[in-house]
Amino acid sequence: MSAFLEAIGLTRRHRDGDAVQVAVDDVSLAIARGELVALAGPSGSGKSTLLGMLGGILTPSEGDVRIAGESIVAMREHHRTAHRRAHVGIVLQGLALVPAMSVLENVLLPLVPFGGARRDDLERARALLRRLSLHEKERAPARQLSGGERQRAAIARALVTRPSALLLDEPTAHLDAESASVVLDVLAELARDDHAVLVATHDPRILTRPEVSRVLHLERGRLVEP
Amino acid sequence: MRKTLALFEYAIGALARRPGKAVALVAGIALVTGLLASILSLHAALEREAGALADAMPELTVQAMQGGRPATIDAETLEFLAGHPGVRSIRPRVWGYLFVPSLGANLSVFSVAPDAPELAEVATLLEGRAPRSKGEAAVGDTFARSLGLRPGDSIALPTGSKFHLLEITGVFGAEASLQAADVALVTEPDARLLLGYDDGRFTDVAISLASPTEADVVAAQIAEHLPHARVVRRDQIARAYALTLGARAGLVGAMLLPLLGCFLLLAWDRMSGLGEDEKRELGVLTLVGWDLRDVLLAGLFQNGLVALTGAALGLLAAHVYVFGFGAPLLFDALLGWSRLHPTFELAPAWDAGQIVTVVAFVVVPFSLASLAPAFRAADVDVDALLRGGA
Ligand SMILES: Nc1ncnc2c1ncn2[C@@H]1O[C@H](COP(=O)(O)OP(=O)(O)OP(=O)(O)O)[C@@H](O)[C@H]1O
Ligand SMILES: [Mg+2]
Repeated sequence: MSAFLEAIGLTRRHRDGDAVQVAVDDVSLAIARGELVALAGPSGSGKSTLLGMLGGILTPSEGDVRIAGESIVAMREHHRTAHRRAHVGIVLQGLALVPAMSVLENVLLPLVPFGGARRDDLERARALLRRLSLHEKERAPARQLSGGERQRAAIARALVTRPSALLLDEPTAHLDAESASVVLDVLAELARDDHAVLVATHDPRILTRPEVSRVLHLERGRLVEP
Repeated sequence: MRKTLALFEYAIGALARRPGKAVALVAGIALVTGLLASILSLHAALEREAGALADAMPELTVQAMQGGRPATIDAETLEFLAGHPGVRSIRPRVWGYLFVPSLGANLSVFSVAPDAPELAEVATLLEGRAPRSKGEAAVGDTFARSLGLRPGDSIALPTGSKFHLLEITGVFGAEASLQAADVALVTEPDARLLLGYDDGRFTDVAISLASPTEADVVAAQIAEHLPHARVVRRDQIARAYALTLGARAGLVGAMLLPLLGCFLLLAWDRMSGLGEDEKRELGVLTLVGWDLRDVLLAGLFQNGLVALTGAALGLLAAHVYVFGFGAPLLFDALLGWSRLHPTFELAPAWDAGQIVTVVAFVVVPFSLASLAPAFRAADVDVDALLRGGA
């Protein structure tokens, strides 16, 4: 099985005055389609930073990221954006919904660069919201949602463009057992459905799920053996 | 194309989500545009009036000068002018200004010969007839209306310490209403009495030429023979009018400039500055795969819509203000010299140059104002979103 998402010697440093802080340090990994991989590690270990680089929204200080066999680091900005929106869905820790937009509008937002929502896109968006038990809130402005509802709206938005890879940062942080289990079912389903899924988390509910193919451990920016 | 439409739809939605800001910006731009367009179109309309006025002027006007001040013209001069080659006919005129205390304004008094071409060319009798004998007068419609005068009424005009009674025989309007507003036409004897001219002396001489193209040459020849005379060509008068108007429009413009500047700065700031939520929104768009070009185009659409709506409203308002209401206030500022205002039938006209000016100075800069901040913000805020709270 060839890797769909690949990190090669990925490093990101932050300059903090005179000191240089290394958030992610020489990380190499590969995730194939059909895999559900968990990325564990204590707070501040660099999970979000790694995810951001893999998703093409943060530029690495060193190393390379390959998505669907192509190096995105070498690409020009315009190209990289087009490449990542075609292949990767991202759910950030901050979730990043537009508060004044309705749930459905938020979910449809990634479709605009593709030419806006067609009828089947709209159906897919509604189906996703139903699958995530959010369909009753479709018209509600995002600012009215609870933390868990926002989490699920962000997941629906990441999936609306039918990406082959999904990157999620703490997707169950705000969820009760029941909602968390729904989200995990969706992720497992995606993996079965030949998606490459990477979940950054320290939620034991995820780490102990049988569907999780592998757990990677990050500590102070480096991948370590558990 | 589908994508452009989708971006456009997003832009409309984004404006609708911040209606307060959108309305404030549209109103501000409408005001700026409206003021600018009002000045431009009033100025253009006045220039057209002045042009019509100049057209009715004699080809050459000769004034005698004494000590650098206008003096009266004597019979000898008339004889010389009448006999000059290139001159078709001369018309000595008696006219001047008469201060009327009860009006608090100057009345322009013209003697009128029954065949006076000025009257035929520019003035139309609205009521009654032209004065034919001593003691009769025809007055401009603005003047007549301000005193409630009709043909058959009489007015007493001051001559020194006494009053001279005139019967109104007619009221006239004019194409170039600038001219007819505060004018009284009387016969020559009355004009001499009111203005204090002795018999055989005239204010100036209107000359019509055998060939209009010789105006320069004939003017120069006359000036040579009459070194103390002033010879004015028609085109010089037209230019003088245009200059006066231009200077006044410029003055009004200059007075409004700081105001306009403030508005522009304010609106620019509101338009180009981004609130926290807008920055965040740009970050979200980048996150979900919008290209910088998409973000910029959406911003351009938003500001373009605001600027176009504002400018269109402003132009419309200016049109109604100038041509519908006769531009109160601004009119006074541009026509300050004449206390008795002409009845102003400004011919409504859309001026392409004016619209281009407004688009160039208002719409384009405001639309472009979105680009810089969007450019800056689109990249920066993803990093914050990456770790930021919900
Ligand atoms: N823009 C930045 N400037 C400076 N330091 C940064 C920046 N982004 C991340 N860091 C630092 O890099 C380290 C890794 O941060 P990151 O957000 O990736 O951790 P994390 O594993 O996601 O933590 P958590 O579990 O709390 O979300 C932290 O020490 C953080 O302070
Ligand atoms: Mg994190």
